[in-house]
This record gives sequence, C-alpha cells and structure tokens, in this order.
Amino acid sequence: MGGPLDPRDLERHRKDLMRFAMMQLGDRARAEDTVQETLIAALQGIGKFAGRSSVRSWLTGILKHKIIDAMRQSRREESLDQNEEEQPDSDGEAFFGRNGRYAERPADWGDPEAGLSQRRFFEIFERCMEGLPKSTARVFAMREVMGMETVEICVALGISASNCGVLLYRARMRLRDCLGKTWFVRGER
Amino acid sequence: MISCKEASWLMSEGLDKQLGFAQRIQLRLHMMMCTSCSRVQRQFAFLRRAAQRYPGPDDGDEGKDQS
Repeated sequence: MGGPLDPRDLERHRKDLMRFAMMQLGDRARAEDTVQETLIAALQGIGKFAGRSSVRSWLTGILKHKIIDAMRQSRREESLDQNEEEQPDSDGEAFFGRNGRYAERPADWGDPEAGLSQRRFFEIFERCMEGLPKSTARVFAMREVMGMETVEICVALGISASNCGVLLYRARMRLRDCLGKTWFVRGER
Repeated sequence: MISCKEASWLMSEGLDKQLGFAQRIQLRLHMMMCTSCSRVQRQFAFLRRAAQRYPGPDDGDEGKDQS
C-alpha cells in the first residue's frame, strides 16, 4: 500500500468495470468502449491517484463520467425494450392486498448501515438488481447509482416521465423485497 | 386518508421530484399513523445510499484495509 500505482493493477479491474457498465448501458460494445476509455484515462492520470480511495472506487468514479457521456451522446438511439416488461403489477400490485395495505408487513431492518462496508452485502445487492426486469434495472441504476436526474433519464431513454416514475417505484419495491428476503433475513424482527 | 399503496408511491415519487403541497400533507398524515410505511421510507432511503456506494468496498486485493 502507499506505493505508486502500477499500470498493471488497472487491468485487473476490467471485469468489474465491465459488469458495472453493462448494467447501465445494456450494450456490450458500448460498455467495452467506456471501460476502455476509463482505463486509458486512468493510465494517463495515474499520477493523480491519491491512494486515499481504493483503486476500484477511483476507477468507478471515472467510469461513471464516461457512461454519462455515452448516454448523453446517444440519446434516444437506445430505446427501452418495453415489451420485455411484464405488464401486470405495473404498480407493484403484487405487494399489496385489495385494500391497499401491504400483503406482507414490512420488516424493520434495524440499523442497516453495517452492510455498506461489507463486500457480501454488495454482492447480494447486485444480484437483486440483476433480478429486476432489464429496463427497470437500468432506470434504477441511472437514477440511484449514477445520480442522474429523472428528466435526463427520460430523454436518454426516450420514455415519458410517468413511465420513468413507475419503473423507479417498481425497482424500489422489488429491491426492498429482495433485500428483505436475502440480506435482512437474520436481522428481521 | 390515503392507503399504504398510495403512500409508498408518493414516497418513491418524492425521491425523484418535489411533491405537490396536498400530496405532502397526505403523505405526512399517513406516515404519522403507519409504522409499515415509515419502515418502507427508511428502506427506500437506504436503497439510495447503497446504490450510491455500489459497487462497494474493494476486494481488498491491495490489502488496503485489512492485513
């Protein structure tokens, strides 16, 4: 630790970066491009790496910018494959009874913050995200992982604001359900 | 009084845009009486924090923290 960063250390992160880019862009060729650009930019700026953050979070930070650039450039070229979405439960129907109450009472997650420093938590979080329908996952990732504004997301994906809201709602409901059933099982109560 | 289903929808909307005045009041009233929705609101907020930290801590491939 501490020593200068070896360029070869960067290459090791390619696979993780690819997964991250794929989730946002949903297209292998474009994901590869952004990852490539990221590694090149990192290589050029390798002297600037402060070593204060981990190599991975430094690279992820660069990658986020590259992905947002890529999204802005392509705008509506990529449209969401909306037919792939199953129509029923567009309002998270499955989680509520007829009376509009939760079908299953939401559990108390206690103090969930501890998970944020654990690798295992993020593996599960990732698996939950991957379990979402593709466009739902992408909208969620753009909004919450990348921190993009909803307006920007709608434009990039060529969907209406209300559709965007529905997808985000659906993602949140499903993710909380998924984490509740996987990560927070033991903490439940 | 709005239902939990409506409340959870407003909570989600509220994370993406400013809710209208009436919606905020409806939501606040609901939240005062509903533990389930308070939990869900905390869960939504936690999802956001988790997503911001994603992909999370390193593999420790450099042995940075531990060892």
